[in-house]
Amino acid sequence: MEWAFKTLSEMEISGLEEWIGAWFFYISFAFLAFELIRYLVLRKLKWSMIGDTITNYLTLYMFLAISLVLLAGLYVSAYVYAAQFALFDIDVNWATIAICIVLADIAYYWEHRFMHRVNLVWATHSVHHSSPFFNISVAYRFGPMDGVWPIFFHLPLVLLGFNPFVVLLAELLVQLFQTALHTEAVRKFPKPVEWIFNTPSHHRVHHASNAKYLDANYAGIFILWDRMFGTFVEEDEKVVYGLVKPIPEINSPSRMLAAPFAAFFHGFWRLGKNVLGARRLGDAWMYAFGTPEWTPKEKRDSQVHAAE
Amino acid sequence: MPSPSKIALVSGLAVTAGIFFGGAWLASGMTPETSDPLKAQTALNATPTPAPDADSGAQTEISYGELEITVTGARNTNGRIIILVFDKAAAYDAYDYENAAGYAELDAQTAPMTHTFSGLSADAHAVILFHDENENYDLDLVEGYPVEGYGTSNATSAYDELSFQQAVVEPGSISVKIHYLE
Repeated sequence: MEWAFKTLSEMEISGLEEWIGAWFFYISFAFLAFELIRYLVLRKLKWSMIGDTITNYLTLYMFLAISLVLLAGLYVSAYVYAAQFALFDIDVNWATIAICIVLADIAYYWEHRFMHRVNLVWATHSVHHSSPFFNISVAYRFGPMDGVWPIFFHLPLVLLGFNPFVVLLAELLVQLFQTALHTEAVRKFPKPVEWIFNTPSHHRVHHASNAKYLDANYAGIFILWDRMFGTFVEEDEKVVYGLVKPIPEINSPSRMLAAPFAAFFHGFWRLGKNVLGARRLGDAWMYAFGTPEWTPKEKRDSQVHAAE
Repeated sequence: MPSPSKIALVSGLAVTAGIFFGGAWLASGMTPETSDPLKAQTALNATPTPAPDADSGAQTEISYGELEITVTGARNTNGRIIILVFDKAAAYDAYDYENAAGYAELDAQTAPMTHTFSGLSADAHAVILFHDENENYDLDLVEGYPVEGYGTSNATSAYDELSFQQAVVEPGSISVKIHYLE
């Protein structure tokens, strides 16, 4: 076990991070090809699915452009600055990296739950959920401000004493594990695996708009956190992917080019419309910081009347 | 459609905080010494050497407690090479030459230079050296970056910043290259 405790350098860690991230991206393309051929064989391949896949990668590039310009430097310098206040003195080796991955996975759980439960943040994360399909390209579908939130949830790990570059590596590994789950090609794994780990089945539930599946299965690697914190739901009825209020479909060919931008900005468009159109200041506040299902009193009343 | 209560949310966050602190505390105990406490103890505290083995001592060229260092890569013959040998992590981290186990100055040569430290009392050492071109006994920095050459045992480039544990070498013959940032 000596190898597990051998000290590693920051250069090795960040080199590893880049290497894993790049190779995973290339392999995901091969997997996407497999998935599309599978849909073709099953006669489920549609032009809209191919268009949606292109949209996914275009949102990725818009997200990367924003993140690299505005956030990357801030991210690393905030971590390195915070590291000097570290509570524990933690060595960099495979044993401490393993612990950091588990803790980063819990941090991700809360970050992810937060992204679903606050309108301002949901405005960016809803982009990822706006695809009516579920394949590995959807994992790369990002919103404009998706890069902002992880920092607040993972900074505590740096303050506890984990090396900033180890935390960044752990964040990537949690993200990549979950990326690999975006597929319909795997039905269910054996019971023990489904009990401990997040799986394609659990993550399909997370991407569903079915009423019984909403706000469930936020996990990255371990589904245990959802079981512990009361947000777990089992997949037992057919999943309808996408948002409760879908983005209007663009059918005319002349406006097809607008689809990626509509997907990328729709969350903030809706948020802005709701906040600016609010009748009371309190309503504007709730539209910005309340939960996605919150509606102003008049609408609630009219819905009740409509139901009667 | 799960909707956990406020109490479930708060207690979930409390459990998370507990796992975070517990995990960080556990990780803080996991160091290279965890797998080999005896060796690390020797390296860090520099306990006295055991008595040399009389039988095998005659056969080895370099006896226990000797470190032969070959210095390569000097870019010119200006000034000298200053070598520091450490057997304590704290002294190594602080570049504390007063608590170094060995100190030597060599006239700079572009060809490989060799120096042997004998009578070392620990069995693990880290070596730091630098090319003091202007003979001011300092590694000169400009805007925080070294403008003179430097090297550390086990380092493979000018950008390697090795911890004591990473830089440790055993007695015997080693080679240390001088790296220049420019």
